[in-house]
Amino acid sequence: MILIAVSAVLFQLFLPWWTIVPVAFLVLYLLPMQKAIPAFICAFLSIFLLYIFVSALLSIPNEHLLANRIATLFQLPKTSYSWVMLMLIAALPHAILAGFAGLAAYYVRKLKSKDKPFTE
Amino acid sequence: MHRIKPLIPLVICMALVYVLNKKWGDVPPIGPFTNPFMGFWQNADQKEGEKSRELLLEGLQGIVVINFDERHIPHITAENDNDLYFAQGYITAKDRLWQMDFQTRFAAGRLSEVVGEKAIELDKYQRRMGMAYGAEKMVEEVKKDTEMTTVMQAYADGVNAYIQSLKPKDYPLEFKLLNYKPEKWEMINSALLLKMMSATLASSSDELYLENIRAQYGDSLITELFDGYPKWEDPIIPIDTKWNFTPLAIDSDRQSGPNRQSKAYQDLNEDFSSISNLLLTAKKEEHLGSNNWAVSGSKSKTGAPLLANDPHLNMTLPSIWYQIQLSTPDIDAAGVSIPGAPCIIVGMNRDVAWGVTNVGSDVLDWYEITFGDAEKNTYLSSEGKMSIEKRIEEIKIRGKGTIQDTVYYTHLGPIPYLSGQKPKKLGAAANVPEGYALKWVAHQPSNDVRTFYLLNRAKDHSDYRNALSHFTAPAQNFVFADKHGDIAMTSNGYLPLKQKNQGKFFLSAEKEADDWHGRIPFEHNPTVKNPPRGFVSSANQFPVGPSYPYYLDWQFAAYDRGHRINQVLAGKDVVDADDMRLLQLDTRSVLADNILDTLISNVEEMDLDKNQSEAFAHLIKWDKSYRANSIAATIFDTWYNQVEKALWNPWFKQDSIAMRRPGRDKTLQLLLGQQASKWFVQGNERKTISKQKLIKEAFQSAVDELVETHGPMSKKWEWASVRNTKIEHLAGIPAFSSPLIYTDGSQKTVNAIGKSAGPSWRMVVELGETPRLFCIIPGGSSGNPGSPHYDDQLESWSHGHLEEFNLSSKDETITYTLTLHSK
Repeated sequence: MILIAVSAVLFQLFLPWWTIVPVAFLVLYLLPMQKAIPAFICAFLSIFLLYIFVSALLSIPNEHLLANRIATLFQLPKTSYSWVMLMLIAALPHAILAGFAGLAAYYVRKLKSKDKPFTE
Repeated sequence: MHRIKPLIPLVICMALVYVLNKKWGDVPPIGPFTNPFMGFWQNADQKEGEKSRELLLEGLQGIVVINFDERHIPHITAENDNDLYFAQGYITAKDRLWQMDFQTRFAAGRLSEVVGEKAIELDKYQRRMGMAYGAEKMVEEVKKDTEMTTVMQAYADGVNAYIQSLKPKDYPLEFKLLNYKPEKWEMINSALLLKMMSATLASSSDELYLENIRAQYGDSLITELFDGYPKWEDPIIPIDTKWNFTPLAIDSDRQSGPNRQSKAYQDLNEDFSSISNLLLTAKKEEHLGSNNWAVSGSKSKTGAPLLANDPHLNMTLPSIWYQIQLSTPDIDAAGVSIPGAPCIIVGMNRDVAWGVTNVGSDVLDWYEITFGDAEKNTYLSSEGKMSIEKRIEEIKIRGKGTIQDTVYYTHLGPIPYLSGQKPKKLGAAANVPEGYALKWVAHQPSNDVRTFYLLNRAKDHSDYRNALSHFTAPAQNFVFADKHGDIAMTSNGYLPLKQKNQGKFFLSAEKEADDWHGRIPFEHNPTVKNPPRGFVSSANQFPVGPSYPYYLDWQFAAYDRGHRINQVLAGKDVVDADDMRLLQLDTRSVLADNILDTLISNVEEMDLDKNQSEAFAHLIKWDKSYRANSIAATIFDTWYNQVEKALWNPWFKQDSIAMRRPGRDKTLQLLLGQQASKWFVQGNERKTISKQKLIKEAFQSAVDELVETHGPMSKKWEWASVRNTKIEHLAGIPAFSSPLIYTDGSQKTVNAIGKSAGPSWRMVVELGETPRLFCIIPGGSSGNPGSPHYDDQLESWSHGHLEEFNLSSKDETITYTLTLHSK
């Protein structure tokens, strides 16, 4: 998980937003999980927690002024915790995306290891 | 099967990337937008402000120091003009880049590039009205003036230096939301924004409505209801002022206007609500106006003059003004600038202060055009056949390619719509007649920035006069005061030389007499210096009394605000800066003073139902002030509107013909006059009724309307709730707009707060050895909705407070400093 998060940070600083897909894929391909669901969850959580952490880092010194406005823009219910909800919601699509990349890595890897006996 | 399985999550990934990377209608691309490394989170400005730092920039000649105070107002100190305006451009862009971009696109008719098809008609309208054409002429004129070219170019260079420093993650929030990139700033962008001021303030046109009324009822009705100097007036230039010049003569024996009776009314049975209401920059409000005044030292507590100004414009977020202080060894000026244009527009320096209100005289006329051939290559003018110049406008539409639009230009100006071309649903175009050429002062070559450049450096009255001589449009009442004790007011700009009522109706391109006869010489523009009453003031009313030898317009804004200001200033022997602030907040209704007793005396309580009697009892006790919590103010306002409706709708509201009501002055004359009048009628069949019945029934329908909309009398009837003032985001995004603002005032009072227009900047200047500036804007310095300075002045503004501007940049009030060095 840490590896995904660290490489995601490096990629995100210079490359487009969707590069979390190759990051999650590569990490889980090289360091495979035993089962499908943990692979998904591992990638999902890495990005989910990372993105929440980074947005909190940006939002706290702002006292969530921006977060509250964006929460209104996204039509989230107006509470004193709208900004928390926004962080979760904003990180979610990225986490899901990473999750599927992790899942893909798991299956590709599995396919390869299954293929091996036949090809060699 | 197992070979396909790994493909499923991969396909899902790709599909998700596609979906999240694309802009869906008005929804921004969710992927980049929510990504914390480049999306909206990056726009969360730190509450405690930035750290002081040094920047290396190309284009500077020396060192520039920019101090930011607690309100995030920049105080720029530079060594020379180039660096000063470079830094102004840089710092304005840093705070307002998206606003500058969006307003420029709006003015130039380039919104479709960003928002897509829905802005096509609006873009066409802006282009057909010749906005870019006017701006191009301005740039040509500026380029003849090397000093102003330096100023405008340095400003543009500063803006571009900022744009170049941006990575996509640094783009202002709205760029991310609307998913587009900032583009290079050109001098013409500044010109477009200045021309936009003319579009907002000097584009009113009643010709179409008046032609329709004349066609329907004839000239006599026009003379009775739409003519003559008002009965209630208190002109800007005191009425006893002598004109010490010999007026120019106009050859006037020729009849003006098209030969035949005007074309029949255009079909206007259509829905005028439109995108232009949403993108509210250009929407013309009836009561855009302003107040300004100056009090001479003889009446001021400090012995030095006081000056006040509050321009009433559409109040938006980001604020339409940007507060700034500009200093070099030659200049030390403070006040507000237009984001996107150099210099300070309203403000002060160590020696003088100045402010503006709109003149609103007739500087826009329509000329009937007869084409000389079927292909519309020529048209008939007073000098025979002339060629049409066709200007091809290319409008790029987001995701849809480019369309071409041909605009026909005559020597007078463009023909915005040929017969049958006017769109049915564009509010902005409602008063534009089809097949007529537009002659408009905004198309004159102009170099208005020079006026502000010189005012920023003015030291006395003669500098003020010299600065004003360079100003074209939109014509403004420039108030002035200096520390030596002079005060002055000049209704100034390019005021066309016209015959009486020329341009009140449509004119003809074929008649020489119909063209403007040049301009009123600058020296003959209405002006006054140090009048005996000890103060000057303006609030968009008639600039002059009937003795003024030139025609400016047949109507101006109602006299109420101006009269009240004069009443209060004349009533006090000694005033100080806080009295100026209180006068800006004055909510006394002159209209109510004039009419309320008469209205009340025409209602008999026994005819009223329970709700109506309760409302009536409330109204009788009213202090005639539009306070936020006043229910009586709401009742009066609704009643008066119902009276106007009852009085004029039977005559001037017809579904198929666009007409307008007479001015408030005529309404008052009738209401205060005889019980019987031919104008007091009811319904489409115009059955005669008495004045008493008209007024009483209007009261009943007013109360019924209030009950229907807000329920029985309660807090919901309070004036501030009913007026419902909100300050909207420039692109109408509700999440970035203000909630309801609970504050005093009405567009009929000095504190002229309406639903969306109002005091966009309140300023009071106390001149003297150590001048002081007190001011506020209904918003804040930053244009970033994620900044603590986006709307941090709004609350103070709504309470009627002013904040002292930190003119000496004292250290303790400086939160951080940017130092710019040459690269």
